[in-house]
Amino acid sequence: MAKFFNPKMKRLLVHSLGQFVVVLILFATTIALSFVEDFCRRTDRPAWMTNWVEWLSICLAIADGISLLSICLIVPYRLFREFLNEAGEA
Amino acid sequence: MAPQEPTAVLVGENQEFSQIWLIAILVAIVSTPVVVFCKQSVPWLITVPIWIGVLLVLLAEFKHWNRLRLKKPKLFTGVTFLVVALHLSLPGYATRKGIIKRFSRSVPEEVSEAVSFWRGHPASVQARLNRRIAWIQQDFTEDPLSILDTMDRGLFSWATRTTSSRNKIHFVIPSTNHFAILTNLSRPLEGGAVDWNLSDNPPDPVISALLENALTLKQVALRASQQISQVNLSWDFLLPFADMFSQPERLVAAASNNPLAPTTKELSAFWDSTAKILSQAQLMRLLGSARSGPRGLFLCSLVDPQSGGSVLVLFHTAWKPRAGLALFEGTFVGFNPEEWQTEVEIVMPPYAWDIEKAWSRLK
Repeated sequence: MAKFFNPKMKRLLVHSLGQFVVVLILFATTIALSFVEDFCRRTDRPAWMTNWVEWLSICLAIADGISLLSICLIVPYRLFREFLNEAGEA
Repeated sequence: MAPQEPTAVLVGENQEFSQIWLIAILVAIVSTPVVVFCKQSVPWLITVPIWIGVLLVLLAEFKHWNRLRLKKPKLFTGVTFLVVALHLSLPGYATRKGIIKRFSRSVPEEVSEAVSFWRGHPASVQARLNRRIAWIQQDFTEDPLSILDTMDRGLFSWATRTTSSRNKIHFVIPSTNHFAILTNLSRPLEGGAVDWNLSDNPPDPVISALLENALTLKQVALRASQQISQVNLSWDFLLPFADMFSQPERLVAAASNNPLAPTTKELSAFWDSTAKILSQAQLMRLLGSARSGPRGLFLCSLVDPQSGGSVLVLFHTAWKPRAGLALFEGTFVGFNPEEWQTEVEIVMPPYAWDIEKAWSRLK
């Protein structure tokens, strides 16, 4: 177990945690943009403003979805692979 | 000197997450226009670029697969095969044994429904229509006059028999395939002939004026929703869902987000009946209202006692009819168009709105 948590593995875990934090921040931004879009529609803001907010919100939502799913799949895979590498070296 | 372990180098290379973000942003930028333009008709389309992006990321991740030199590859391969086999076999086994109950609606069912919709399957059309009505209901609850955004517009005129004054009516055609009229009952007729301009002509000044009126209505509705002090009318009862899809072709057209324009025959029939009732209307009755200080939104019924015909009028105003408080007691009072000081009204046939529910709420 001590060998499993070597500096390389710790660096991988820290990097992964950092990616999760970035994804969460972007998700919060996406939700905030949806509220801004709703506000623009209710207050009859210019159409270009509402459209830009809508496009940006959808674009961020897609990027968030891809990054979150990818990280959720890749991080366990990399940890598992590292574990097997360590087991192989042992 | 000891040889360097190849596995250590490979794991270090793959620890970079920048390729995930690069792929995610590129796929998002490329697919956003398609998702935006198909948002109403294919709402689940946003999941497609997400899964495509995930697939690309996984392919980029596994491109180093062959470069891995594990000392015990059989172990890794065996565990991977076991995980994949369990993943493929367990859901089917659990479903057969009743361990997992299937969801009532799954993604494949949604997809098959959407595919069958484009093939014109009646059940799918009905399901799609129900969703669309639910959206309209939600929008209408949040902003009662959002229904104006879905309307096509035109104009016609008529003469009031009791006062011999001529009036001009802007009629609107909701996407729900019912007719209503956006009008000003107190404004004198500027032209003389009946104008049948539909909104395919954007520079039409009438349409521009109507759009301004619609914007005014929306602003009034917004102010009313923010500082409303008295609400007698439940806005969700103003939804035009009463018998509105009785005709199969209109049902299909409305569900496909491409409502049919009314035929000349339909429009003429509506114009004849509504203009006749408006010209002979002598009684009016307040069905409900939402008031905020001096301003308010009202729903009235105008009745021609001779023919028994009636129309509904939805309007906002700083309105002070001679009838006064008697109108707010729910009784019929005399109707004189010259008393109307409203800015904009929406006139519609009684069947355009679910009036039965409105009555049940008011009683």
